[in-house]
Amino acid sequence: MSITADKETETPADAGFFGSRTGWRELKERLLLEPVKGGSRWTAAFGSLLLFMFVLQVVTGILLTTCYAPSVGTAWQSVKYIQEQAPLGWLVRGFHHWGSSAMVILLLFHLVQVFVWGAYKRPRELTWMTGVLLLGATLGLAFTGYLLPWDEKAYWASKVGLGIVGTVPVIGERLRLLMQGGPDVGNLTLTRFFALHGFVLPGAIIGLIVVHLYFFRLHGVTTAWWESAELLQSKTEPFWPGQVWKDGIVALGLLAALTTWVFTHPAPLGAVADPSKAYEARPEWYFMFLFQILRYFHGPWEIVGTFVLPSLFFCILFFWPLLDRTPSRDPRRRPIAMAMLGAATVSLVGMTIFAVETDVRMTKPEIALKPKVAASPLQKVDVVGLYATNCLACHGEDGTGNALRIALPTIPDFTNAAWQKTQSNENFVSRIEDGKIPAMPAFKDKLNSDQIHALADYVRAFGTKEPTSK
Amino acid sequence: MTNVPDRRRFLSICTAGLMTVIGTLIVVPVVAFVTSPLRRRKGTAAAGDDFSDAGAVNLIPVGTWTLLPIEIVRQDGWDKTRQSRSIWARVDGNSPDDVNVLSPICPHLGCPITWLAAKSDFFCPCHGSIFNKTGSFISGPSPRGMDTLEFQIRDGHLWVRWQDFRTGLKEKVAVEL
Repeated sequence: MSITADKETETPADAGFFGSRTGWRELKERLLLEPVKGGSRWTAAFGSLLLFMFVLQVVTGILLTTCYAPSVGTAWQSVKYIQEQAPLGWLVRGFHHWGSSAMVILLLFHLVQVFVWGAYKRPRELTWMTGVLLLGATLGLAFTGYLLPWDEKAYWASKVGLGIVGTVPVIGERLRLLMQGGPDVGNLTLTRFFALHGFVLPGAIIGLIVVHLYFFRLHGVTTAWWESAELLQSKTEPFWPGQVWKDGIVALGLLAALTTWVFTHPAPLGAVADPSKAYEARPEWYFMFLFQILRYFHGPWEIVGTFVLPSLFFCILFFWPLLDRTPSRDPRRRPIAMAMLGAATVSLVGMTIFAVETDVRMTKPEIALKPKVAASPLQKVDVVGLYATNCLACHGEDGTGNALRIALPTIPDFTNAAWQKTQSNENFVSRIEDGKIPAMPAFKDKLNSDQIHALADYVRAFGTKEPTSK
Repeated sequence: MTNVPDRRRFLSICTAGLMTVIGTLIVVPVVAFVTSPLRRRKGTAAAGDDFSDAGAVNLIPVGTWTLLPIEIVRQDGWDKTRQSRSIWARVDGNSPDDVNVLSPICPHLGCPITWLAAKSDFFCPCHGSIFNKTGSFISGPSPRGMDTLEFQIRDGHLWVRWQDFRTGLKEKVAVEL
């Protein structure tokens, strides 16, 4: 073994206290001062914007974990606590909830930009492929995340989602059982999804990001197809501060937009999951296109919608750099690629819009009496649906409670003006929250305070309308 | 010095073998733990009576489908819980043959099915499957008709055996607990 010092690794003697111990100057040289051919560019900001958004999700996610308890009896209650009581809990949750939608949108922008730039071509095929894996992992995060609040939407969307997993040929049922954690969707499903959402998938994403960034740095940023070689050489500048500045401006813009949205749109929390109640299951908006597609495949063709088409799409996406081997990055010389991109974008976006616009909800009961009500809490909450699900069975569509009066003589008649005069709004709220012996259940652990107040207003409204003859 | 390459190669092989052993010692229990939902635990199936009381038969409105709540007992991980489910029940006469009970779980992907009295049809609001007034399949993506549930009439009460059935199959196959 050689005794003389290896000149490449020995730091200069005048590097300073930290310099000679940490080698930070060399690190900075490597990481921050990488020369970017053609200069910094706004289009390259999409990637780091995604990274920024992911860091935000990790931070807000960890904060949520300090208050969240993943079990059937505690999940919804702890999320309600975060939303309504924990200081700034609504803000943290709002960022995390809407942040997930933002990540999906940013992902699609980044994907389209890379695709149009032809930045997946040799030697960058593996950068693209790790990117597609990142897309898959992010969608996995979205899917496992929205079971965690255990409200009605969460429960049914996950039940249906697991049903879709079950349609995978050969291994589908086993895959579904693996994800479900047990014979039913319950405690073990919540804990399993939480493990996936909080540990396994973020870990996988961090690993994939490291690989993705390594490949990206190895091959350098992909310059636009219209930039000549001379131009690139003349405009070379280091990554810091030029590109980081542009990345930072875009990140600040995203932060401002997201903050505005969070302040004006509180993260929703439906009623606690109840497998016995009717509910119209709908996925989050970014899966609505799949929801729509599934309407078209019946019987034995169903598997085309649940498995064949999505897998085909992912395989084409993943192997795209091997399918498109044309040497030019100019989109004008890649008509097939651009046509396919156009077709895919139009169908996905179009299908999503179509699904949302034409979605017909069937469970609104035909209320013959239209209550005249004050604005605000009612409009924010689907009070008609809530009443139908939680109250209508005993109190009746018309609020009179006549159907049950023989069995329950003390059931009130909401349309009775005299009775209404004896009741304050606080009475309604506390009755709904705490229930009453013998038959009125307590809803404070099942509905959030917006919903309870909206129902109280709705009960009040029964007393203000004219009765119709039926 | 000709021994050195041989020794190093021998040591390399041993080290690789050691890494394999350590890896296996870790991976095997991990995989066994994670895949445990695939293996049914013996002896946890409910022995004896797994019927639930859906209430008095004569309180069920005659000639139409009614959604009745029932309570089932399930081992949910560490929790033995009473969970609520609902069943569609119909009474058309006085004998047990006039009683019909259907599961509200759509065989397509598991959404709860609603009864549209105005059209005399069952309708699944998720993807639009339609079933007729006896639960038979009419149209939509469901692979089969609505699943019937086993029931008994005991002392004038309707006792229903709640079961989950696998979605997405043409045949009605019970999910085993």
